[in-house]
Amino acid sequence: MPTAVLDLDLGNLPPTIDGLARYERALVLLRIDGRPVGQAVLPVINGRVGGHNLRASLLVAADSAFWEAWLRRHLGVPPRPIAPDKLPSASVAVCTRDRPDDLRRCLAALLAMPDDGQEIIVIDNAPATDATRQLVAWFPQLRYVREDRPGLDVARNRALREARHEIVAFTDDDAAPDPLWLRTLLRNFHDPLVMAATGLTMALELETEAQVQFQRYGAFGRGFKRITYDAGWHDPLLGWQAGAGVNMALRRSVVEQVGLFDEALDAGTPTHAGGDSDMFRRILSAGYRISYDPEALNWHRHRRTQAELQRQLMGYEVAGFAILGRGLLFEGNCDTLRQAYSWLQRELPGLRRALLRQPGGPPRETVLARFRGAALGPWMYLYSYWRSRKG
Amino acid sequence: MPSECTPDVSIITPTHNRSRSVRRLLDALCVQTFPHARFEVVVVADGCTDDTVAMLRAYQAPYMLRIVAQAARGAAEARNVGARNARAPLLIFLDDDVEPTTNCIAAHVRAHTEMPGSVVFGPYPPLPRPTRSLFRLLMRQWWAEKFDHLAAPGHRFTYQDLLTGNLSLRAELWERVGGLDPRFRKSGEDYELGARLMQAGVPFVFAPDALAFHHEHETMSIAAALRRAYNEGRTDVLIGRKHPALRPTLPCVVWRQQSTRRQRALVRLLYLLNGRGDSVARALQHLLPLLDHAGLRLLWRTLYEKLHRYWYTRGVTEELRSGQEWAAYAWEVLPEHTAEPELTLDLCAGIEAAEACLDAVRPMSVSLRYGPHHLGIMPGAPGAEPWRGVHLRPFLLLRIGPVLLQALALEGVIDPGPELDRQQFARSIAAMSAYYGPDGQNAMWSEQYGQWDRLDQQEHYDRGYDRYRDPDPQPAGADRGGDQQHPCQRPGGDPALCRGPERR
Repeated sequence: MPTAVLDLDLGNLPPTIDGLARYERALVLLRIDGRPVGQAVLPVINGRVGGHNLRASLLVAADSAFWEAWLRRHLGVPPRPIAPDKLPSASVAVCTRDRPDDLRRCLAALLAMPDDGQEIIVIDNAPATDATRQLVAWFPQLRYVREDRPGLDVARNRALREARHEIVAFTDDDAAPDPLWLRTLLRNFHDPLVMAATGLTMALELETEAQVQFQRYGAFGRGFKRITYDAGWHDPLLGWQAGAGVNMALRRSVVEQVGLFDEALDAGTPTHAGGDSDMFRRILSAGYRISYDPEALNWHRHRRTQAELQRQLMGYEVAGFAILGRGLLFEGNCDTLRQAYSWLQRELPGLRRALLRQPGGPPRETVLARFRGAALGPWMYLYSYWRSRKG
Repeated sequence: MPSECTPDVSIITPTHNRSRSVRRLLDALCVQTFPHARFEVVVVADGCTDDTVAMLRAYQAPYMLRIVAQAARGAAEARNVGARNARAPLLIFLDDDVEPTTNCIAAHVRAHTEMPGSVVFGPYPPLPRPTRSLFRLLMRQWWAEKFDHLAAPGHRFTYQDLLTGNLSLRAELWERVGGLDPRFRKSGEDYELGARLMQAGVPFVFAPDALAFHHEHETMSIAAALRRAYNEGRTDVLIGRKHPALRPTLPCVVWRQQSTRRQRALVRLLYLLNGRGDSVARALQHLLPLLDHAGLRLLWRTLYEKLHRYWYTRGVTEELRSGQEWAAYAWEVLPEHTAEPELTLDLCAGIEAAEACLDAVRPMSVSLRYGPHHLGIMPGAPGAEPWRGVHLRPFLLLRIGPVLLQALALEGVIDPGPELDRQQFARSIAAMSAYYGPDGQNAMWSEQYGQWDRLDQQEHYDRGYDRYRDPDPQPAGADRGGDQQHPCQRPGGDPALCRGPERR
């Protein structure tokens, strides 16, 4: 069922919220003093969120991260500041392929950010038409770069090469950042060991069941609490937990220190995804840190149809196992076997429930798609690797 | 030209066969913002057989550099000798593998001007270098956590926070407490000094600007770390003998008090082997690089921790010669300390008032209330400083946040309006408290799944309710109409926790 997506500040609640007649639920991003701090999932009753008292229902449904932020404010313990005058210079890269409508929304949001001297580059990846180039031509402050070899990681590498500033921030073309997104990401780079910073991605809309499922069963959610990932305590093979490529910023020196994105991975290749998680894995293995900052917020339009969703979820498992296969065969990392085993331990109960059609847990198609993806993963990596060497 | 007047600051560095490191330290001291004429450097060469003394004699320094060469007596005694030879009223101790930043000395001096009579330590994290070695990553993590802990606002200092790598205190305070105890030759001398300073009521101050970088990758290896574990086992027992009140904080005591029968049996075996298991431990140590190379993190971690535990226990068994002696040591009846909290604070009167009260009384333990609600206890801890006002807010936020929130909910501070049933509101806060705190991601996913699942359950009950009330049930999601009152819209009804109608 469609779910309304709302962005509400507890200190500044509107008296009424219109247009909710066709929704039964609402996912609310909660803010305190303008900073995103938590989320609440509420019923919508007769077009009103949570019944007749919005504030009361939000307080009851709010999560632990919200309460920690509320108490922090109540006790007068100040939050981390965003210091614009000490931030490094940044280039923002948007890699796009034949999605001019989504891209228009993304560019509008990027241009609405405060100007700290950042440059914005649009990498047009193997386009079928001229639409993207024409769209970008409308905005003279943007740089247009065309990369004809298909592959999201190919486009990202091109962005790393083309960027002129110290930090390169990436966002997907179907995402739209919050105004303070870039500044918040950049404040994490004062530590010289931090090689990447990632942020929180919320849903732009939850109109279809596929979008709700994606949001509900993982999506890009990494929580509302700030975490710095270091291989000292966090397994690099679980580097995907540090964030997602839809919302990340890297130092340009990552190219020399860690390497480029793996062009055999991610969208546009047989492996569908994983370029970002592989990069995070390699950053952690090399001894650098990744800083997850939930206040660096952007909004993503999830895939609308079930078919696309299944393909995407399958793609994630393909990518996950592609990276494990690569780790085992190309890097001699035996821990990949333990990861594969833990994955099986986690997923087999879901598979059993799905095959016996028992209730509870993710839907059947999702579980089967995941297993298909896992089985294909290593083979897809080998195929993709061979293709990228040939091409 | 170094001045002949008495310097303001003496920097004392003990060293043993690390001439390159000492040279680097001396070079870093050449570029300090603090004027050269006002400080002297005393290097104590403790049993050096390499070219350290020759290098020091040949070194051209813009500040006064004094060299004391002696036979090897250990780092603690070397620091004592250095302090005895120092002429300035303020002493700064720096380890020889530490490289101070340019503002380090000035920051120490400033801290003493602002807080006279205190002991000041500055951070000396490992030099930020990327590394692939699991051991180096582990060391880096240990040091980073240690200094993050110290730098956190409202940190309550304990005797175990004292590190001699980047430490400063006034010379007369050093003399008053008697310097370092040379019996703690290989390790533990810093904790032991911390215990005496804490007993004397000396304030501990952390100066984040007094930053230095620790070249620990040059000096710490797996073998050295495990040797250190053995030494720590021995010196922990000595600390507990010298300061019996601190025994509850020592790992050897905590472990013994919480040990299982199987663990105690293993220790008895260790006593029987009497050191014959050491060669096996040393052989297993060589497996660690292989596991690291194969990427087997969990196995590496497990083996390292087991080896660490083995060597620590071996150190303890050198001082406590039998299982009974260890048990007696761990369970010995200690001097009485009051079980009742010394002070009761009611936060209704305001946080500032509570902080002022803490600063005035400086209690060892505090009972906290909010009106009629008991919140918790700020506990007494041996070897820790008394509670101060600055500790209160972080304690409330991090240790008893959910309990305080429930009290605030019940007292109507969070939502003063009449619509919210306070009891149910407090219950919903209690439900989320399982996830409260800076925990990892697994808790976050459980919490978010729970948020969606609760809504599923509620809708399931609602549909059941509609079928119960309405003999002609509408499909879920149909417009219910304005006059049919939703059960959760009763005054005081809580939509998110709605359980459906009471079944008669």
